[in-house]
Amino acid sequence: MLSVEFKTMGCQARAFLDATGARAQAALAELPAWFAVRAGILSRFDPDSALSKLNACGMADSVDDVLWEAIDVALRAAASTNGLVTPTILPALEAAGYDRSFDALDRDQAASLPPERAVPSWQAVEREEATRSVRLPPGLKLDLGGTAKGSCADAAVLHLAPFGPALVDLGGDIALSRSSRGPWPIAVEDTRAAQGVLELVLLCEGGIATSGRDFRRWRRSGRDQHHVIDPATGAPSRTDVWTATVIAPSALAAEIASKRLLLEGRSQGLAWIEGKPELAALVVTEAGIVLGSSRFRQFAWKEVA
Amino acid sequence: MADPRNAASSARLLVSVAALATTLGGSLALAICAPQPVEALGVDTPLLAPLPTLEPVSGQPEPIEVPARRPNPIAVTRSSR
Repeated sequence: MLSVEFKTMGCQARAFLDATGARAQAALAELPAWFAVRAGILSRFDPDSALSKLNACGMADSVDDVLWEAIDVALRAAASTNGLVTPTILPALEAAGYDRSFDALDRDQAASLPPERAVPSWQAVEREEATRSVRLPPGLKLDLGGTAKGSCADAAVLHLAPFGPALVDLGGDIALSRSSRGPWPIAVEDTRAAQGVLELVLLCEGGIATSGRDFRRWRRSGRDQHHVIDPATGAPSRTDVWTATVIAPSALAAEIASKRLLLEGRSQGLAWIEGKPELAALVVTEAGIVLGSSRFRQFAWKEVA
Repeated sequence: MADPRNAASSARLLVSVAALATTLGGSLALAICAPQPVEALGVDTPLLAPLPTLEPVSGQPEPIEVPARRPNPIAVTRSSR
């Protein structure tokens, strides 16, 4: 099993390729640079990135393929979730205090918080396919982080597919393809205990992702803040879900569904999951209760008596 | 605000992990509704995969061998870090 580990898109990445040979090794070795290109275009922290320039100017023409596709994916995610998982939360996220890379973030900020108000609709983003033009109304800026990570993990697996089965882990968003060795064993982290494992799941292909308010947390004006913004209030989500893990046909679908579950709360979110035969979920509530959707057990490893 | 990391372990409601074990031809197999392969999602660009259509997996679940011993995880899913 070949592997490579690197930092990209603000998180730790690892990739495994079940193959041998020089060409497979070369393909895997290309992956850090492959991600670096996308991170350089899609970063909201790099003022020279194409995304930052779009956010600063409110307009861009002849947008390159990577940014165009990432915006398209993010807006389709917003459309498919009735605006719940939307890239238009960036001004609200910055107002909550997350205005630089997390490593550089002051974790106890004295500045005041703005009044709560809904974020702009994703439908306010104007695009012209023929000229590859994007227009953002005043006050609207895009954060492509979550959907970009999920879709890049999926795309990286496809990139490696000609050489063999692969698993790409982008900071916890995981995409994988079928291996002749059997299913990939993947742990679901239990953040209630140091190095804890909530469950061990066996996945043949597709994706798994976790969204939570257990990490990327800080304080501002004496109040706890985290990075998952509720578009209805423009403030960090306050549902009863602490972490939500979703198994789906792709890492992107898992990322979108896990964030939706976090934002909707356990009752509404798990009811939605139950109505989607292609999804399975595991939730930890704010009170520390662990709940699984009915299909989750199909993926959980259990010792055979 | 309650912090789940501090919750007593006794308060944890364990998720049932009862596997859907089926004896097939004398061997124990686990029927897993495998997610769609990424190759089947209509992806036509190696750059960024489009948002997949979330359709039910068609056909019968494909049985896979269940490791008798707990395998070591190759990766961990967690909130992004």
